[in-house]
Amino acid sequence: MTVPSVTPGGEIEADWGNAVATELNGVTATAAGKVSKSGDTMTGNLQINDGGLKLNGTGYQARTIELQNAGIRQIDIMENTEGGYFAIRRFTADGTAVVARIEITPNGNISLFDSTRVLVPPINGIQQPAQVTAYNPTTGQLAIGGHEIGDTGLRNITNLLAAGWDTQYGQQLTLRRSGNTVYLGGDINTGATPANSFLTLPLGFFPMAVPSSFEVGFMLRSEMDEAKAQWYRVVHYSGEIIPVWQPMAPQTPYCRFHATWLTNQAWPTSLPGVVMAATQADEGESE
Amino acid sequence: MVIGNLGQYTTPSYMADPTTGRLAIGGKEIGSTGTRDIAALLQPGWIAIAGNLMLRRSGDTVFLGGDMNTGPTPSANIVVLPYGFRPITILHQVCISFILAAAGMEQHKNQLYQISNDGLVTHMFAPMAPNTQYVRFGVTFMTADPWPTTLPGSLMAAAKPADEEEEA
Repeated sequence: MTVPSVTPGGEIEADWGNAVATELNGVTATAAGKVSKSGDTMTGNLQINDGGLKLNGTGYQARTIELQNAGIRQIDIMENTEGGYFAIRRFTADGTAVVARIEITPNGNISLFDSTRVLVPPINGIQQPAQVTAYNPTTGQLAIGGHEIGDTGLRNITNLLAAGWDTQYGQQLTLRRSGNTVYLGGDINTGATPANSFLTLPLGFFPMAVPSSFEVGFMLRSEMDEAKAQWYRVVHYSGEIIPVWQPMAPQTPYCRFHATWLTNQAWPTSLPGVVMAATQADEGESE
Repeated sequence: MVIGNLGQYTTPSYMADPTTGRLAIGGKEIGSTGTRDIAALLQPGWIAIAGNLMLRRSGDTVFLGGDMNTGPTPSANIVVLPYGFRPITILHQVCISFILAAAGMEQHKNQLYQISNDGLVTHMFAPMAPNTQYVRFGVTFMTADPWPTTLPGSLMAAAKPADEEEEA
């Protein structure tokens, strides 16, 4: 048969049979035209202008698009000059409303939503994709949507103690950042001439900035002599840990403390000290 | 990678509200309210200049810090923390983190205050004396409150809500 001509509103009623390839090659349905017929194969592109592709039938694979033969099997949605997003949408039965939609935005984000039952619930009408914005397994960094949720693990930073300070035998000075929360604790002692500041924190662990001097404070106290106790504070702009009033007396053993604060510094680019093996898997155990 | 399951309508794994800084994934709160100036919430008789009473929640960790004076008749409570910022339990040992000082930094009018799980920040044994200057503290604790639906006070410009943006 010959290639039929198609007029707007008309249909192609081709008898595909054995010669379908030649019959349909080059057929272009015009506005509101419709191509309908079952058959076997065709080559070349099927171009439909201002119309849809409807798959009818009730049997096996009656409404299936199947990609056959060797090689890459994919459906490409080619970028066009008009931009916007591409979407796979599910409509109501009468085709009047979108029930659900999977979008691929021009910048490559994939989002899912649904006008009545949402996978990503809109709050205040705003939806945001949860994106991993930073990941560094070496430093333990993981940020989602810009929020730091990673964990440095507990680090032994005894090597950072200032002159005149040491750890009590067998103990450590430990530091950890989990999300934006920092923990520092230790069992330390003073020598004959302890430095005023026993530690300067590495970058990434400073307390959040405060407009005056109400920095994070903690009591450093001796387990051996309860009269020996001094307030220390963490200076938010330098990371120094200094006495509030008077420094701990020289030759004081078993000075114990722990403190926790929030930081808003960038995640450390390298980790201080050494990881403590016994606590390395804290994250896995706790969750 | 599986990014979602349209069948899990009743257990959404992701909640976000940029207005309050909320971001929760799998039920875990990981967002940040930013640093809020809540000096306006001080109880009568407690005075702080703007920005000198700060509150922030990051994940489930809350920071509260202040630098205040007391007037002639300070209230027993310094402030009542709003819902979303209250500690898991009464912080009886908040004295560890409180640094309370008098003018001149010579005499230390240290007093123990506690933060109870109903949000009251109040003294334990004796209140801070009237007309005391430079009453300072900074304390960090955990909360089990749901994320606040509105944020108290005002955002401090120097510490924007997306403190984390510095890290981008």
